[in-house]
Amino acid sequence: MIRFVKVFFREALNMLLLIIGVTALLYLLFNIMPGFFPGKGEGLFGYTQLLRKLFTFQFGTSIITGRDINGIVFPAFRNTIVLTVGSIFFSIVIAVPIGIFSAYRRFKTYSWPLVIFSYIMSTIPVFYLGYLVLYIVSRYTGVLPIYYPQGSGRGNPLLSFMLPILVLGFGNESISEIVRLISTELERVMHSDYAVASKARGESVLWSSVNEGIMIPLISIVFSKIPFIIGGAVIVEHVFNWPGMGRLAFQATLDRDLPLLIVITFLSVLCVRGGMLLKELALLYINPHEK
Amino acid sequence: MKMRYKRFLSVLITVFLLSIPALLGAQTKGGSLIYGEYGAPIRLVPVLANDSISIRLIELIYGSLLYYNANGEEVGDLAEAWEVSKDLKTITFSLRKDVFWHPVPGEQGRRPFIADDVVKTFEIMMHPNTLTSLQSRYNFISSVQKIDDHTVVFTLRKPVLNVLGRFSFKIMPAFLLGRITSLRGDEDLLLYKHPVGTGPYIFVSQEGSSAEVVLKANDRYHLSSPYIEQVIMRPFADQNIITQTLLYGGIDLEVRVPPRDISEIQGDAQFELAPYSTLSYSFFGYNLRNPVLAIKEVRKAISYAINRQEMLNSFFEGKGQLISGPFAPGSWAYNLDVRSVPYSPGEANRLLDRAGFTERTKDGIRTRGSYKLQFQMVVPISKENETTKRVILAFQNYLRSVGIQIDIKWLEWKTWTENVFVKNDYDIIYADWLFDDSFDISSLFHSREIGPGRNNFCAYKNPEVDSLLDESRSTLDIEKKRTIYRKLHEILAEDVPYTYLWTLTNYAAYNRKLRRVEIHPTRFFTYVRDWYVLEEDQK
Repeated sequence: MIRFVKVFFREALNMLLLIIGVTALLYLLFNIMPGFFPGKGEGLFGYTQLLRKLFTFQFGTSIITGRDINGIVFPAFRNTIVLTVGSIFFSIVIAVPIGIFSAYRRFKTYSWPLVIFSYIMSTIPVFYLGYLVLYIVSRYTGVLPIYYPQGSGRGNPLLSFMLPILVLGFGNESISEIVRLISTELERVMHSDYAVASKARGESVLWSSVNEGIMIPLISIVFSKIPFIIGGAVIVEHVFNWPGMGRLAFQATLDRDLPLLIVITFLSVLCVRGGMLLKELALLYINPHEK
Repeated sequence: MKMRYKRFLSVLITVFLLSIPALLGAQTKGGSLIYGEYGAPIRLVPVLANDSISIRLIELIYGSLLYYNANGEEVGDLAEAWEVSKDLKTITFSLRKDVFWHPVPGEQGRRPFIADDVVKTFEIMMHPNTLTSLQSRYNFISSVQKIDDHTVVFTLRKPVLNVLGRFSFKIMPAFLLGRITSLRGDEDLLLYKHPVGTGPYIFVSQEGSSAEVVLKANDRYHLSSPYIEQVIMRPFADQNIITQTLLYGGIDLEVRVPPRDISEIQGDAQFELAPYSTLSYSFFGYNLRNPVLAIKEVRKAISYAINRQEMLNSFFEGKGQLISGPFAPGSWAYNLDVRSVPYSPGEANRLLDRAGFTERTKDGIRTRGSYKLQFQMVVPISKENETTKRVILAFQNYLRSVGIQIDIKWLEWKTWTENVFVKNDYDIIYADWLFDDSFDISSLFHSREIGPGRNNFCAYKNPEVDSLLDESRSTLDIEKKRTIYRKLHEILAEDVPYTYLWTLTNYAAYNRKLRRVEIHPTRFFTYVRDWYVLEEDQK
């Protein structure tokens, strides 16, 4: 328990330092750039004002659109979380069985097409995959599966909701990495002495190996992918008109909406560092003895 | 007498045309219209908005004193009657008494529209602290006065041609502005979050992150109330999928079809393409402060060296028209006798030789002594940067072949405007002008308008042009004005402060279930209350 608290505080401190660093850099940058936001040009005072706004989650109003930033950014944040978490989940669901399958020796000859498939999927850039899927699906179902907000629904809501998640899940490059990692790790564990010994005793090796060999690398790889997946989400949001943070950030950049951009950056930092924190805690939970 | 006969005939024809849809199917209220835009509205506030997406939405929500009908005549919207005094210096508007503001959230009932709203809107618009681009357009008005609740009088500094056309600015509710005297956009105002107007459609909601805007028909609209029950504006982040969404029924109307999608829609009987031209044109503008660009032969050579027809054909699918001078074609000011400069690299080379740029560097760039034909072009990173990029690169290539080097610098929009209009730190720009109905070009070419933040960023100076422009501003005779403008067109084509390129035709595309669609060139939705959806198509 004490270790949990210790890790938590260490990571929280990391997060805090990073946020201060990033916001300070942003504040500096936005002061040099043309455009206006409240607190600009007021030096340290303006910066502390900005920090207070960010840490109390009272983001104020956007000076460009005159709309309440909290009301814009939180729904977008939620949408992006749904997209990224959904796609990570999907990647794991696809990749883990392929990895296990290919590590399990008996199926080696049958598994290589799957492995090749996973590599091909991972190398197709998301923006291309997105258009391709849009084209194929609309061609064969007669509906264009882009995101429709409530109230103006036309077409198939479930399809519109699932497709972007599937595309990001396939295209975020983590499938091939997970497959490669699992198959090599699993093979290593399964050929280790204790596995051979237990196999000689007639016990099933696979599932215990899965537990021991791959959970830790799997967790590290998934969480370390979070920043890239968020990056991919920007493109998927674009193609499927998904109203998330990436689209919002793009629009805010075009409109030069600095207050909104600061908030979006802040939330992304929170997201990425929050992922790291979760990773540390999860690792600790799985293997409490490791230093 | 002849005129009257003509008018009678046109009324007859209009009546006939209006009866056609009635024969085809019943006009009933109901149905919805979902339209797609590339990007989100920036500000739904009449005085502050200057992006076309916001302007289109504002046209649906807000009303103005007058508007133009499809025949180009002024028609009353909030004004019932108006009278211009004999000396053309005062205009009196009698306001309608049956106009009500849209419901305000948290309030019961509706407030009536009164003269204070007009006065307040105008005063805010003209306040020096208000961030608006409209002030120069209304400088000719010295004051506005409320006589009673339903009468206002505008006093003019000087008589102006087509003065009534200027009174199409949108009126905001005074009771929601309170004591505010100017708008900068950072005030905490209900009006910023929830537009309240007098127009045919009432603002319902703007969904947070997707910025989708939902409007419903105004059931107490003072003019003929709109047929379509609900209008939804759906923003798109990706231009490539808007047309596809239209074709698959996700939206009913696309405001501006990208040129390369036009043929796809043309082949589909379910959709209609509606061209509308926007009284605008594109050009390359030169900084005459640069001693090399100040040489007229050099500018002319550039005009000869580029193949504009080819660029128009390949980048805009030929959907446009080449122009020869500083007015929008299709306007009464445009001089059709001036020919546009043909593509002739030979002529360009001859002109450059004559200007003395005969030596060449190792890379083939022409020089004369210490002067080198190498220019910096600044380009804003705009939303449509794909075609812009192609135009710029083609421009670079064309000039390369006659020995002129162009360096391209991409700038973010605000930095670009600052560089061009304030610091004048550029050699060549690629830009557009969008005109209103007055086609006043004095702010672009009058030597008085040289200076930071002014529109004559070229620093173009020509005494003859100055005096012609002054003359045109003081005259009220439209024929005389036309003669002056024709002369100006000729001079400005000869002097090439700009290389005039083309004016593009925009296309809107809509599903045929929408009927009697008519589009205003700049405001788009002016005639929306006549649009309707057949009963069998209402879902």
